[in-house]
Amino acid sequence: MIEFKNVCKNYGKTKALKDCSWMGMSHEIIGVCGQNGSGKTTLFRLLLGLLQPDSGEIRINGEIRSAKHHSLFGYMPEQRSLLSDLKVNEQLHYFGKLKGMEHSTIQSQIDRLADELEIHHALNNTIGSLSKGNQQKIQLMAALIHDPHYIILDEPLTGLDYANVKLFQDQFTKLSKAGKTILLSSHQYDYMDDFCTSLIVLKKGEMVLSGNLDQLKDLSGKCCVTVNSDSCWMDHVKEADIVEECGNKIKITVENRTQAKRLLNMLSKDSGIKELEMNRIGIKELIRGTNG
Amino acid sequence: MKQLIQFSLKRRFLTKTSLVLQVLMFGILFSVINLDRISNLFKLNLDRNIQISTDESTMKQLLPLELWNTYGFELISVEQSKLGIKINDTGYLISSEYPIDLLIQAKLQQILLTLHQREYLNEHHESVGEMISYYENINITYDVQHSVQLSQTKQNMIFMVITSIYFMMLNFAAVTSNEVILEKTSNLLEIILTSVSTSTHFISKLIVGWLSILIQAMITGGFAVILLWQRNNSDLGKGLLQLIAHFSLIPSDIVSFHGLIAYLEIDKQTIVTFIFGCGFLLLGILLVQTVLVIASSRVKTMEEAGSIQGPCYILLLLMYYLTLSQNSVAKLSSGLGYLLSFVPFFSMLFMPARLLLQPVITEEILLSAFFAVSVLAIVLVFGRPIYQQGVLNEKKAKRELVKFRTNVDKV
Repeated sequence: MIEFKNVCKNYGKTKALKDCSWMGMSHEIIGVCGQNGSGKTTLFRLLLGLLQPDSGEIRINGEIRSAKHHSLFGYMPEQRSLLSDLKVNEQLHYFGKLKGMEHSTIQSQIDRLADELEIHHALNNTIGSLSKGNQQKIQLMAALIHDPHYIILDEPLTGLDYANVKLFQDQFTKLSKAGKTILLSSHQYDYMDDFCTSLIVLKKGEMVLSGNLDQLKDLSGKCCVTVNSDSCWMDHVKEADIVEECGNKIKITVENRTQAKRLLNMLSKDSGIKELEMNRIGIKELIRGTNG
Repeated sequence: MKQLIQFSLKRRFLTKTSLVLQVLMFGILFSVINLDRISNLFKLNLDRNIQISTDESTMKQLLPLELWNTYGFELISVEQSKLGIKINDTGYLISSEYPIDLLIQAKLQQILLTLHQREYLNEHHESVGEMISYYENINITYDVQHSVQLSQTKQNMIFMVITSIYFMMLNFAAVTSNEVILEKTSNLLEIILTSVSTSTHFISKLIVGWLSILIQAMITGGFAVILLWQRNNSDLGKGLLQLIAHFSLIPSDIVSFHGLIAYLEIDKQTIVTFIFGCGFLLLGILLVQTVLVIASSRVKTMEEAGSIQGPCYILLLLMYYLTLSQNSVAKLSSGLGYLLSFVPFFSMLFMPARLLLQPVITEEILLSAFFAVSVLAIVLVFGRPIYQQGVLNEKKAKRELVKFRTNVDKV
């Protein structure tokens, strides 16, 4: 269990994180969202022990975060952190050894992860010769090589094609089922909706929203109505509603379920509408509600 | 820490480039140890004697061939020579294809003066010769307070070894700082520091720098021993030693490596002096390396690293020349040379220079070592947080945070 208690971190006069409190439990996949400069990386660095809080406490399983917790964490930074002239195997062995692992254990972990991430063919290649997507896989393997309990992933899905995003999502879900706690930041909210169980929204260093994703969605009360139509359905939409294009469909966010039902009722009478459905809002709409 | 050190050393010594460089090093040592044979093979003239010609019979009669050699000349035929002497009405005419430097001019003056005297004496009575001989000879006895610690040859050899180590270690200090910059710019440091503390990383880099020096010294030393052993089996090193004697570094009667060792009289005092000298050198280089590693933690790119290391090299080179300019018993016994032998950083060359030239009392050695160790400890203690801030890019993180927030406010 990770616990942040009133954590503050300043860079000089700039408040990177203000009075931040939250808890992360096993099996959780926590999405950390916020604009650039909101404090996501600072939060990760504090968790990893790369920075120390100016005030407040960070506890791991009830104990104050210290060097002895290093091996419990796995980290995948946003930018590539691999030596391009090294072979994949060599690089992963190095990371494993840094975490105090035995040679044989590292090799078996490499084999397992390579199978799961479908990258076995590249283990003897140099990192520089790999595609960006494959380098991303190696970076994820480096974060998971020592089977950490807490996994911190900074923008893990950036630059991946759809197939690889799915591969990563499956991996995250599998890890979560195994009892790991995953924290990840991303601006690809649609993908995050598929696997995140909790959410933290940061705005200028302040935690404006945090908690279980389903509960947060329920609490917001907002609903989405998705329309696929050729007719002029815009007459039915109030000015305050948020209208957004999603491919060939239109997504309308309304304040509550009653409004959604009313809109659904009206739109269903329109003969030009081909498809109509009501859903809960996604992470994007949730964040928009906080101005985060 | 062990893993960090092992990984760094492996990347330094077990790469294709490193292996090629070791082969190159072997080749250079082979060439040096067999320089006489190579020069014979390619008919290179490494003899320092100046080739000169004259067709004046008087000169050849009055000055035997050995005397020309003693003055640093070698008589050759007029056709081959680029430098020639003739006698004219007013004295001597020296013709040369190229401008004659001052040293050669001085040597020419010396030999021509001898020739002139001999010619004069040849034409006059014996008593005139005796008078001149008496006139030229004076007896001077030197009564010096400070004796010289080691013989000139020993001093030269030890100073050559120490300065070689000095420049080799400077290079390794720069390599260590480049390694920090590479890890930083490739973002590898961020991952490493989630496994080890910044202090561990900092110390490991310093240890890696030192182990690299030792390993390289052992490899180079190993090559040298093998090649010298091979040369000893071949001709006891005679050819090489004769070539060295030509350069006036050793007497010409030394014809084997065993003879050279016997001549050097490597006694306990020589070894102790060498060890103390190296000790001060190592302390100084450790200080330079620590400062470079701390500075490199603040560097953002490899190009920037060059702009830091460049001036540092110039400073160290200046210090080397300053040491050479002060390298005499008189200058090192008082004044600037004496003072700098106690100043950390400067003491790495000035104290060894003093130890080689004169007896230094134990208290002075201990005081200088104490200052050097104290400054090193201060740099290590105060440098660690600077290093931590630098490797974690805290300033950059702050700058980016402020920039993004300003942009968000504008939007």
